[in-house]
Amino acid sequence: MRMNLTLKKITLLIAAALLATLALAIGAPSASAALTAKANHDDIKINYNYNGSTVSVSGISDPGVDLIIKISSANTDEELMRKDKEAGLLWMNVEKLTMENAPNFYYIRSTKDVDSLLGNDQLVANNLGYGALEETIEIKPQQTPEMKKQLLGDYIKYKEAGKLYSQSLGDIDQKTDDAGQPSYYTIFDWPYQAPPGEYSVEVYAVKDHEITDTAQSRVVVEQEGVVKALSDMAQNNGGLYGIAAIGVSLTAGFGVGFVFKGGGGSH
Amino acid sequence: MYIYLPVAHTSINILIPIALGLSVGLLSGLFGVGGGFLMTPLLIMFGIPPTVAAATDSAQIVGASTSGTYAHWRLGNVDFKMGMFLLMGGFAGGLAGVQVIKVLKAMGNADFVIKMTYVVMLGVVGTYMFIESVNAMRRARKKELVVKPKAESGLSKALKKLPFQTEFKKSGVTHSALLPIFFGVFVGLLAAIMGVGGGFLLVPVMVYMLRMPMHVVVGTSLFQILFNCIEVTFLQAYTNHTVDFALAILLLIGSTMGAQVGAIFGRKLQGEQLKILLAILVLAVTVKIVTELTLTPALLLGAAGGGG
Repeated sequence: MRMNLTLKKITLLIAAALLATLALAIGAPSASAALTAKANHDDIKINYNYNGSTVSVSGISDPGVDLIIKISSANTDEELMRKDKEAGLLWMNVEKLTMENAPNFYYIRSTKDVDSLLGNDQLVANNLGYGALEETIEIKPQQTPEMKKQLLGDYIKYKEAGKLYSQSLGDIDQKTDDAGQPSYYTIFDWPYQAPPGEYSVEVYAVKDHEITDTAQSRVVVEQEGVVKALSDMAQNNGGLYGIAAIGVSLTAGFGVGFVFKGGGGSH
Repeated sequence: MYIYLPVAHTSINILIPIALGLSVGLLSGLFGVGGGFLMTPLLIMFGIPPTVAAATDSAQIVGASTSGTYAHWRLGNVDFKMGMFLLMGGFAGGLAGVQVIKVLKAMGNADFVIKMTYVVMLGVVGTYMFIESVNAMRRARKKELVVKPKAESGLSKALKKLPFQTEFKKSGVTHSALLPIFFGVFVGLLAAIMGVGGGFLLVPVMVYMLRMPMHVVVGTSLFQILFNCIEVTFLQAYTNHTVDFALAILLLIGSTMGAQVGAIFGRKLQGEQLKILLAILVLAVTVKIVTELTLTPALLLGAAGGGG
């Protein structure tokens, strides 16, 4: 009798342990966890010796997906001058153009060429890649299709030269940890040319030409200290700022003149 | 060491603006030019936005021309009386020039007129100064400097009949007060159209039209440029918010010292040598502008705004 009771207890304990293990297995993060994104250096402070920064983006992703990571500022309008030949000989600024609906900052990085990952409709809908930008940016006044294509190409080159646009592929590390969890990591050189403001970080998981998941984060760039004080004064108190600039210039001029008094001869 | 410029929104090695200031300040003290026609393109080349480059340069010129004027004043090279008359004319000419630019912009060909004015004025002034200085130096070498009594021209006689004849003791000339005012208007008009301080135009006007000695011309030109640039700096800061204080200070460190060295250096050179060096500088800038205008640009787009 006593032996049977102990056997029953052991059987129940084993059954409970099996159930608990099963329950834990169901509740644990699986290899097909949702996409996440974190920008590790998301609050960039601009002080007097700021010379750019780095921003890393990392997270977990489903196995076997391709990734597209986009960091961009809000769309805005930018005025530029168009050059053309005048009198058939001299290159001049001939027309003021407005690039409408264009992000001032646009960095995109992907595991494969974005154009091979998604169809054109999805690229344009999500503003992914230079090709999509060329379809979403409008030029005012309106240009011929050939001129528009040329100007948009030049606009992207112009922004790339200013370190405000970049498109690259292959610089995203994807690995799977011992528990079978895939993760990704990439690091961007953040240019000092990127002005203060809020930037959105968007990560797209792509499989079989479809976006399977997305995740967002953000990067905030703000001025602080002397840089902020001078910038605010220039914008909000231009008169006083101008008088201060003139005062400092005059003082510097007289000051240096006084120092050089011995060398410059006398009146 | 890098410094972040709060208005230009850019970062720059501090040695770059100091070196630029030193070089342009040296030319300023040497020739009596503000140097805006050199400094603004150089700043743009180092990544400063065109509008900020032009506005900040004017703040820098205030410091350099103060330093230069002070140095030349101690050397007895500033004709304040002539400077004031030129300033009066320059102010009126500047106001007229701004209106001319408005009309040209409305007509849609402002850029063409500005660029062509630049090329023609720089080319004519540079070539004339160069030829005239070379001839003067040749004459000096052949000891032909024995004063030949020159017949007074009709124009010269007519100018002497103008009212308000005034003696400018420092320059050793007598002119009607209307003459420097007229030339001030002319230079102010062109300077406003071209978007520059006008020193490189004012120097030849004072040398060839007002017959002032070269060393007094340099000091007096700097005095006039100082006041012009004070006005421009204030207006740019007040209306466009494009003066970068940090950049201006770095440029000033170099330019104020450069202006002093230039003034000392200039004392060791003869007037004709100074003129020929300025002529070469002006012609070099002309060639650079003509090259830019004729070569096909890499991009058909450029920044809106900007200085001369």
